[in-house]
Amino acid sequence: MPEASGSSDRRSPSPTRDPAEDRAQRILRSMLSLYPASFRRELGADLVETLLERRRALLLGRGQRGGFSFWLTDGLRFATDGVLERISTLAEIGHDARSALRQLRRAPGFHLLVVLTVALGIAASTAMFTVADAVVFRSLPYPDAENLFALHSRFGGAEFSSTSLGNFRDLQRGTGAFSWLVAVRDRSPALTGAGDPERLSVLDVTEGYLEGLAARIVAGRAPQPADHQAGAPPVAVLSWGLWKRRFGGDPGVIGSSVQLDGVSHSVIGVAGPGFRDPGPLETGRPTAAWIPIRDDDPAWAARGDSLHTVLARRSPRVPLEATKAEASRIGAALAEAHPEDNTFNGAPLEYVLEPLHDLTVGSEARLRVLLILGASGLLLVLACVNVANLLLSRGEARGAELSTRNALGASDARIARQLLVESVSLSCLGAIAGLGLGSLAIRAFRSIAPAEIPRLHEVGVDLRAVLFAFVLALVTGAAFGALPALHGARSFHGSTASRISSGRRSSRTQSLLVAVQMALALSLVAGAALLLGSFRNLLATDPGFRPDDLLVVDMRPPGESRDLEGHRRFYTELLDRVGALPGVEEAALSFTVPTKPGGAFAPVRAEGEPTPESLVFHLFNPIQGNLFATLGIPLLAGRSFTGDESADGPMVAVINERAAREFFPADRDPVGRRLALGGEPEAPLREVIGVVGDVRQSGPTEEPRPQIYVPYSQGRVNRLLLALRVAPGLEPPVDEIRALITEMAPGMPIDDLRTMREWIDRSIAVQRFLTLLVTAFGALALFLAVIGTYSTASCAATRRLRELGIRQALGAARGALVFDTLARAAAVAGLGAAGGLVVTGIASRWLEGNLYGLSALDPAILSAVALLLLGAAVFAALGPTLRAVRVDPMRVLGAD
Amino acid sequence: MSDPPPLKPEVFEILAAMAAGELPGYAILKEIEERGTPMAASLLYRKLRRLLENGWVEETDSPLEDETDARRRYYRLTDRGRRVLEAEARRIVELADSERVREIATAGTGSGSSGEAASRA
Repeated sequence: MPEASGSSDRRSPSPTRDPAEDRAQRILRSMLSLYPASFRRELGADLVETLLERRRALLLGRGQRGGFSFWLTDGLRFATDGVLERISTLAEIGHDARSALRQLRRAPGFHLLVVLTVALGIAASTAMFTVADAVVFRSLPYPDAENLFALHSRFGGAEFSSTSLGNFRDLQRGTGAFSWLVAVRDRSPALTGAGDPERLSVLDVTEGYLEGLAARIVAGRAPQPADHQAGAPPVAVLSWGLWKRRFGGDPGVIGSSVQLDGVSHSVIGVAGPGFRDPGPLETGRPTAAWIPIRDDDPAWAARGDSLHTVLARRSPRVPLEATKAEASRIGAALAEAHPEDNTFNGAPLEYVLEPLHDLTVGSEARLRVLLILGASGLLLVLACVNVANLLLSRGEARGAELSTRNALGASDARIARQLLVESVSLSCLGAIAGLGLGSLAIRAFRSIAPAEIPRLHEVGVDLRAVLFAFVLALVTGAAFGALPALHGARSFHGSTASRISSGRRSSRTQSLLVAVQMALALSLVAGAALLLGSFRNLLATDPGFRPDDLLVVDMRPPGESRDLEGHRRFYTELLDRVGALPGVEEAALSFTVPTKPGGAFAPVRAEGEPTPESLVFHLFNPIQGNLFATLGIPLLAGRSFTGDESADGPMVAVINERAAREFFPADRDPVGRRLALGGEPEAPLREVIGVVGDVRQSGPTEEPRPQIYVPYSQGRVNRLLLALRVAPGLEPPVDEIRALITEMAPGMPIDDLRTMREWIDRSIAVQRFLTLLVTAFGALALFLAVIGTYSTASCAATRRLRELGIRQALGAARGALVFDTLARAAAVAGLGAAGGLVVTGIASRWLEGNLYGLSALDPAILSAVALLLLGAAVFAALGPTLRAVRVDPMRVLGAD
Repeated sequence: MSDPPPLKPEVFEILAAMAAGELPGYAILKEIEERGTPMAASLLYRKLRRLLENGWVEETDSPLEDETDARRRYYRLTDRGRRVLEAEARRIVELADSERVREIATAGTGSGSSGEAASRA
């Protein structure tokens, strides 16, 4: 043996060696980096030792020439072997992948099923992840979005989202806690000029709004400070949508002027297509233009008119708590300085910070999105379990192949690795197919999702989605591959007897997997069934009026907004002329109609009752004409308005049943009693002249609320909706109405014209959508569970062929055998169903909020679902079982 | 059990060298060299890695108490490795015993080439 080193540390050069050997060792060690890491770890140090030993031997034998020869032969070979080792390590995984592909070709139907199952699971969860990511998880698409807030005004328990410009100025001056502070007001002016008049949504903004949200200006310029100065000419930045739609994307529009409510604004710029205003500023219509608020705007002087939304970006240098305290301090100071405008119901003003993200997404939408994400996750787990099951049954068929490979020297680890590479290859194929399916699903999702889902425009397949799908593929591939790999590694060992016992073990595992599948499928199908039942309830709900053959027209009266007398004349004439149109049975004007969003609210006080401590706002509705007959709301007591009521005549009101119970709980008949609208003690008392039926004002999902109807002449509002009942089966005279309004109010756009059915559909769009999605998941789940049961039954039947053959040969009746096999399948499914009921019970509290007229634990629905799944399981097991017992027993026994 | 495929010659050489017992890498190289077919250390270790993975060879600590030998690692055949080696040796002997190979060998010139020709078959 050559000289020994005194050191036991293999890493550091030993001090006893000569410097040339130390150098050789360093060189060899650095050359080790040519080898793959796994090789270096396992054998690298020992290889270097052996090489050094060889070098020493050569030096001893041939001196200096031996040293040269070492580097020329062993050294060179050492380096090239490193590269070769790297290549062959890669090639081994490639080999496994190629062998996986060969497997795939050998049983294309089976593997297609596996890939499709994985693809379904991955498609559903990737699509829902993409939606959840865009809607809930990702921060808003603005710079420093986590620090964006809206400033709400709170008075005691009441919170309002708007502020007056006067207060905003004090906020601006009073604090350095915000790095950005803007006030925004939404308006809906009419765009006139070339083309039809059109109602637009525009935002009046203070300085820095667009810049602060990093809106890209694609043509022209953003507003400059000069545009906000007193006396500056009116200018507007157009949205991409308006620019494309009304101006054909013509860059020449910059410098031209547009007429908004008759005021000429010169166009200074166009915002890019990607820019959207923050959620709280969205009005349902996309913003068409942004208009700088000038310093001479009269709103600056008004402290009482809370019309503006205040957005702020917190300065990161000031702690959040300090910022909150600062905001609330400014509110208190304002309440002290201007108590008449800054107290409400006795409570002083306090500014609170509401995170913009929360306001945009909203807790309901968030919960719903997470609910569907959870459902898609269940579906993915179900798909994985299904694939594990399929692979297990296939693994049994491959037992012979694996056992040959094992006999040929492939180690257990090697075979387990091959099985894992196979399952991961399958899941990667599944991920590719799943991404394709998923992006179709996302496209479908975007096109059918109701507008109530926030940030929908941000949903799309991006790199995050692709990464998510492939991470899922790796995880699921490993997860559903692990079980067969473990089983596979065990199953091929040893004698036939032990293989039979391992067959029994895998049959137990398979039964367990089927039970898990059943449990998952049951919870998804139950969710779907519950939502379907609830949706049926929604459709069957009595809205309190007759929604068919109704048309609702939204428009504004022409002329000055304060010309109340002009409005009255316009409305009276409109009602007369519309009522005379052919096919119109009834027509009325109303501030609100059921299911169309919007309404006026006021505190209500019954005569003799004290003003309540905290004010509750109730819906009041100024109307003209016979609204009750038009909508089909029954008159239950008293009478309706005559149309002769006037502002200086006796004040009257018609209330609904709910209001009668709420305000006059002691009276059977509230007709003749009096109530006041408004919180002030001096608010005039109105006599209740009639009681009408309740309506579900916000659509079938909400319970009826108290409502007070007043004559338009005694409750002036700035606009009324026109409601028409047309003769049943007749097309509504839409063209005639349009022509009539154009004639009576030239230049006034019709803001909206829709049937009541459309409004009702919109009010239940979210429920419809949720039901649709979860039903799709439920159907997929049922399908997967049936496939799982079928494949397990086939597998069990093949395994038991011999046993069944013997029993048949011994005279057992076929019927009894079939019953026995099916009973087993039913028992497994029953076990799973029981588990599924438990899961459903746990998940029910997330579903509860989306169910109407039934409980998440509705016994009828849950037992029907359980029966459905049991039936499906038995049905799926029937085919393979029948096939097995039909086989001639002598052939089976002869095969052994 | 179906017949295993023939081993690659260098694998057979390594296994045969290791039949001697527990050896460090350098000793295996020397064993192989003494049989007349020298092998590069790096090739030996690449093959060793596969043999370790297959479970034909296992690594042991130095059997010597001597601390100075501790950084050297030793390798030995497992039972399975020994079975594979024996099966291959039997196959070569059977092949060498066959009529045809004997005819070739007697017709040819070299005497030591028959083993190699057989193992490459």
